[in-house]
Amino acid sequence: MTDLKRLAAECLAKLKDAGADTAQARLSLSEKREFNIDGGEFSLFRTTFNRTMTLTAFRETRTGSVTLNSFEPADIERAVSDCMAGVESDKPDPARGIAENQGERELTYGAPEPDAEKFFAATKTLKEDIETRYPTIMMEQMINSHDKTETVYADTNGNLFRLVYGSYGVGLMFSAHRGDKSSSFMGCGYATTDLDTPLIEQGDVARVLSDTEKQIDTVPVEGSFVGTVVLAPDCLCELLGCAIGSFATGTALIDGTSVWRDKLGKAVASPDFTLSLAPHDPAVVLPQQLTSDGYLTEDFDLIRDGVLESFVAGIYVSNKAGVPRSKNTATGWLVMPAGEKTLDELIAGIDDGLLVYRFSGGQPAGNGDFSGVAKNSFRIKDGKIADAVSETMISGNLAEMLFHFAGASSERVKDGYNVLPFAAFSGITVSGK
Amino acid sequence: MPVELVAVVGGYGSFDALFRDPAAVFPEVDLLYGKLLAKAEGVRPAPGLKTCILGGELTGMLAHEAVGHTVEADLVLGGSVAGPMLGKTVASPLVSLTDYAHAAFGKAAPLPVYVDDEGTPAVDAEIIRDGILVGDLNNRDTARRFGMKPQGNARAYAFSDEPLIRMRNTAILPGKSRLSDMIASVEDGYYLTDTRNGQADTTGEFMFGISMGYEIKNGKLGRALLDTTISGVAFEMLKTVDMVSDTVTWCSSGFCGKKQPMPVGLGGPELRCKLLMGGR
Repeated sequence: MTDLKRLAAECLAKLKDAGADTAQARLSLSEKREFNIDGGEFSLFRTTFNRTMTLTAFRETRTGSVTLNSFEPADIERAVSDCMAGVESDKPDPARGIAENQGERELTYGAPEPDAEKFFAATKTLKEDIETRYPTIMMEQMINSHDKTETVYADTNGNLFRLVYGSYGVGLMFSAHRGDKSSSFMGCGYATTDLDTPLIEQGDVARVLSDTEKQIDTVPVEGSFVGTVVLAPDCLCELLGCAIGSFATGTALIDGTSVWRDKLGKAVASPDFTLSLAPHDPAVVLPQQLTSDGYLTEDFDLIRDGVLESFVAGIYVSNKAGVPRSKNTATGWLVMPAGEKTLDELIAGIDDGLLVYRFSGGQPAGNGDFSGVAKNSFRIKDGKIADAVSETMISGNLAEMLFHFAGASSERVKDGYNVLPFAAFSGITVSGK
Repeated sequence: MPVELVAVVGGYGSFDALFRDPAAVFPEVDLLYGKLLAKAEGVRPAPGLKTCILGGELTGMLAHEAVGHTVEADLVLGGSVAGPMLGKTVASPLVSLTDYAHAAFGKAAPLPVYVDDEGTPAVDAEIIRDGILVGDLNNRDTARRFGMKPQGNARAYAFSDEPLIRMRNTAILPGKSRLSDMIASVEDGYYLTDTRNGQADTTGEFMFGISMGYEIKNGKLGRALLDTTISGVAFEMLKTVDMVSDTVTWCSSGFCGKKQPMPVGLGGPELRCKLLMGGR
């Protein structure tokens, strides 16, 4: 058994001896046990092992970093040498740094030890449940795995953290078929520690399978209109992630191109809209515990009652952009409060719009403009779900869209990573042929 | 309002071989800057079904995303639209499409594959010939199931990865039209040149993000376009192709995502066709 703490300490000492002022070492050992189903048949069971080491050295205002997948002494010696060569050739930048001393911590979470037999039985039952309950569904691929990781983070400021964690992951890719007709493919998945609850009852799997069966026959939208779009949780997660990436973090803040650059403490969304980055929400299976700078994470509200409460900034972005450092640097682990209306009641208040399960779109522009195909989606007409649609696009602007938030469902989907409701936004352009 | 454009320079070969003289890249940077300035004054396209000329980079993406994936035999087993279409007309007779192994049009392909990761010697896989779907892409297992010959499409990324059915260098073959004649033939439409990303599904419905393009009015290029998205259904859209240019543009900067990443080449000529434009 490799003693990662001892190895990390040795790496830090070597980096100091080689001339580093400060240094970080992050070492991980991981094991993956994986079942695959392809074309409806079990096709793979395997166990794979991996190891990674990332060494980062700082001298004055220069930084070097190396990642390798070997813990052999000769390879580590070479990595230390390469890391310091990186320092030598780096462009000076005083914005970089590492966390101040927070002490030592050992954390074990999730389900680090797998029960492979039970997981296989649960996977087999999931396959049978889908075949029985959703006869038109054709399973293109199911990738279920248990992933265990032991990570040690150490730095020369005295931080030493050992994290041991694991979870079961379920990932499905499928479409519905009748004769020569088929739905678009659809995917869903989640992380869990629970093998006692049937896998089909976790995440949003049952609803997504059921709705995919209703998408074999589709009707294109004629012309275009501006309406209200209800985004399913996975789709909402994707677009909120784009908004955070474009407006709240990284180069957009540093370059000053973010449309939220001067909005801290100001309204960036409807007063009814709140979004937290909450890796420690009880429903999250594998939280972000550490930032890459070495800070232990905490939850925070990104937007509370429509007001931008924080950016997403580690040390570098914070120093470069002149914004406060955030309590975590996750761009996932999105948590939104549940609304008061059920999904059906939310839809009942919409005259004309779409329920969108999947957004197949280009990367939104820096200003937030987006457009893409509404896949696996339904027309909403006069407060009711109508036909499934095809060849239908939605367009809008992410920054404007948040001001047009029109409510969230009381149902929230917990997929182990995020806790999100269905959310409605008005003012979206829907266009068809 | 910020506008962005990204261009990839370089190609097959090592970094020090390709970038020995940075000045060699400057003309491409100048070109990119000129396009960016035009885009800064750009307009949003009108949404709806439009006559478009797809640039070669986009045609390559179409070949890869919207057709190539649908004929991967593992996706055929999973219910891809291409399964029952084998032997049938799926495109205009002007359209032929091949997944090249290591050479195409008398030159090395962008990402040559000589033998795949199941040990099968790689040969070209013809997919569409004159508008007819004539072949799928297989590994040894699916080739046996379908009674076909494996052609070297089983590729793995990392040392611990299992080989999956993947494309190599997928391209629509050039035609006989000149780009200038194609533009002159469009009364009201768009010339779409650059893309940021693309997706398609097993129905052949595709979406491409457009990062650069121009209006065409009365046969002449007009204002630049802001970012937008196009979509269509491959086997329907390809039937609307009525002009194919005589020049192929290759692109090999991206990774195809299908459980594992994989470097691929994709290419094609300009196509005149009907497409659904996104817009506001």
